[in-house]
Amino acid sequence: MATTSGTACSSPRSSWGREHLANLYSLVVLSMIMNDAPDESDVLTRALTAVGTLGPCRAEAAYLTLDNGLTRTPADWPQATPHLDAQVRRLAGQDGPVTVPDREWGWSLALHSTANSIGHLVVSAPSRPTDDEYFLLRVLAQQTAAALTQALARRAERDRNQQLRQLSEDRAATNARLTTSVSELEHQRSVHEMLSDASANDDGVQGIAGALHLLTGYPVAIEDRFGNLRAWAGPGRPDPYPKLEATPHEELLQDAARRPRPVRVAERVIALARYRGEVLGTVALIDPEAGVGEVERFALGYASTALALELAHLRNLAEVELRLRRELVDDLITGTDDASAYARAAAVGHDLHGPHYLAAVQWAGRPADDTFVHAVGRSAAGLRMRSLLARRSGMAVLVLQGRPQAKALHEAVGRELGSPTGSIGVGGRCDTPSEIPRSFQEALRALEVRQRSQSPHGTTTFDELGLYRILGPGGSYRDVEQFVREWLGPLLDYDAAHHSDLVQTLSQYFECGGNYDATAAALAIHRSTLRYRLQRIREVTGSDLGDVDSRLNMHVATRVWSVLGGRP
Amino acid sequence: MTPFLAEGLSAGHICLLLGTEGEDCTFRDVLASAAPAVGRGGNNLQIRGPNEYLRDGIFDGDRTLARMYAWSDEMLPSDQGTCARLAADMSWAQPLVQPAFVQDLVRYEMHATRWLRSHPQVGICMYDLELFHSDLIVPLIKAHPKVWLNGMIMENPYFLDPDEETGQPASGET
Repeated sequence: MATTSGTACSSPRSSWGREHLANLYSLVVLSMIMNDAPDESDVLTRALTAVGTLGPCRAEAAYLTLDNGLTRTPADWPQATPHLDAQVRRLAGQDGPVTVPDREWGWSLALHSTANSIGHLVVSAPSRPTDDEYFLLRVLAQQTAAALTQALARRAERDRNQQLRQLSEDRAATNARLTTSVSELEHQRSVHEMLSDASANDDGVQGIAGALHLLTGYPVAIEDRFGNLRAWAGPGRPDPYPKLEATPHEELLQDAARRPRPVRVAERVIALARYRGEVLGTVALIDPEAGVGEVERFALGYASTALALELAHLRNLAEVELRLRRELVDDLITGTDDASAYARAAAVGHDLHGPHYLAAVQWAGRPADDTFVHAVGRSAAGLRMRSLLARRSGMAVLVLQGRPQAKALHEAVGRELGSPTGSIGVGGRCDTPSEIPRSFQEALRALEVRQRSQSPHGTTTFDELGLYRILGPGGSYRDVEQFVREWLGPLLDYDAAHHSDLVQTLSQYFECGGNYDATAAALAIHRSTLRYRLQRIREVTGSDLGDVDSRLNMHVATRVWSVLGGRP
Repeated sequence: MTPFLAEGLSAGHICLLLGTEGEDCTFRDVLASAAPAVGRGGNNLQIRGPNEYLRDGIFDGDRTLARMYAWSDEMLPSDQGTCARLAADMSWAQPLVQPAFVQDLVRYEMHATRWLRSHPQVGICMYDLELFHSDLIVPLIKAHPKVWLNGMIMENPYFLDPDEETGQPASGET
């Protein structure tokens, strides 16, 4: 920074004057240096270190006025003391004397900006300086104040720039957050729209699975409460679909229910479809690479909500339909007009036109609760029997379209319930709804007959009752039994005592119209054996089989005996 | 400093760079990069370290001046019209700054001015304002006829000549 030229030359000056001018010149250069100082501390340090070069004085301390407070700057200047700090503070921004130990003269030079005090420069000397020396100090103080003012202005500008940068960065960050938020909202709106559309378009559970697959790109599996696959969307559907055992599946659901967000289980991220605290099913993203992020989890969570609503809706529909069906069956049994019956049946998806049959189903030891009724309904559905189902007076009642497969129905219900100890009575054909009450009564009659028979577990149709349809209706069997006893009692007792089949032989004889050959063939016995048995029957009963009245009464008795399953 | 020496080298001047110990190769590389025309300076560029000023780690201005006079006499014979440029990086002085050293250094600089005048040569003493404070800078300003600050050269007709030296450049304390 200092140059020396071989061409420079000095003018003759007096020694004092030259040195004084050199000092002033150095102050000018120092002022330029201070004006370029990076901060206030550097300005004051350069001022302090210059004091000793301008005369006999020593720099004691420098201060900067900040926020109406006086701050020693630099803080570690060796001559500065708290006592000196207090003295300068009392000067309140004005020039004034200070006391410095072992120094005869001490002075605080106020550093002024346009109107304000911005600091102090404190100097001392072993004796009072000359006017020229003091003048140099004053110039130094003025140049220092000017440089400080610039440094403060630059600091203020830096602060403003920093604030502007900060504001700009904050705005950029806010814009970035807004952009992210908008993006997230758009995605969420897309999720909402697609899943809402899936529900609104009656695509049901499959629609939800498809929408979620489109949104995430991952294969989607929707299971019911028991782990059965309800819907799949996307590639890689396993066949057969794996199903967890009941216990681990239940544990999985309970574990997932304890967590507020979708949970990873092996290669899947699973969310529960819960409605009013009850788990109705699960929806899962198939993610073996563990790539599912927040965006996909949001879509999964929303899909689980849509699924819960869909499943709850389906269940409510099923419950309403079931209730409507039950109420319809109750009304059909008690009697209603045909037009209303057709309309209501159509409303629940059943066509009442055409032949129908009523079936009454009871199972030994099983109350006619929902489980029982549902088992009966599933059994009928499994046999592709279109029906209306209701619970009534301790039994399940089916209004069946077309001639029922009664025996198959009994076996199916037996399998559902795990027991064959049940009875089914089937009424006669009805071609209009107004005939249903009659068919129901016939079903009850058939059921009653079956249950009172020697083989109470099985199926009896009203058509099979034959003569028994008109005997003892309303449940009074005493007269019928007395009648059977009156005409077949000795034979029944004989068979019981001798393990013979005389009643069966007599019944078959009447059924074959008294034809010996047909009777022997039906019973798979020899004609002579038949002759012997008929003779024995005449002896035991004391009746003449050729007598018209005896023959009629005994035929009726054997028919009743047969209907009752070989039991009077 | 680099343009100053590069221009001198381009003009055929003898150039001397002082005070850059261990940076010979680095400076020549910088020079070659900044002024390809002069390459790495060749034989016209001489570089000497801080020991040119120091003896056993202590500044010896008289010895230094004697070496400088000898160098000028050798490199600038009066009958050949050769010119020289000198640049001195004075950063080595920073650890030595104290009142007595400052007094010696200022006295040396005053005599160095006279030495520079004695031959067809021009010199720059480089003081880094981030290393030196006013206790050294202000006396040095007073001792030099020109000051180059922030790219500007300021004449100082009132610089203190050694013949007019009245004592230490400042009697104060720092």
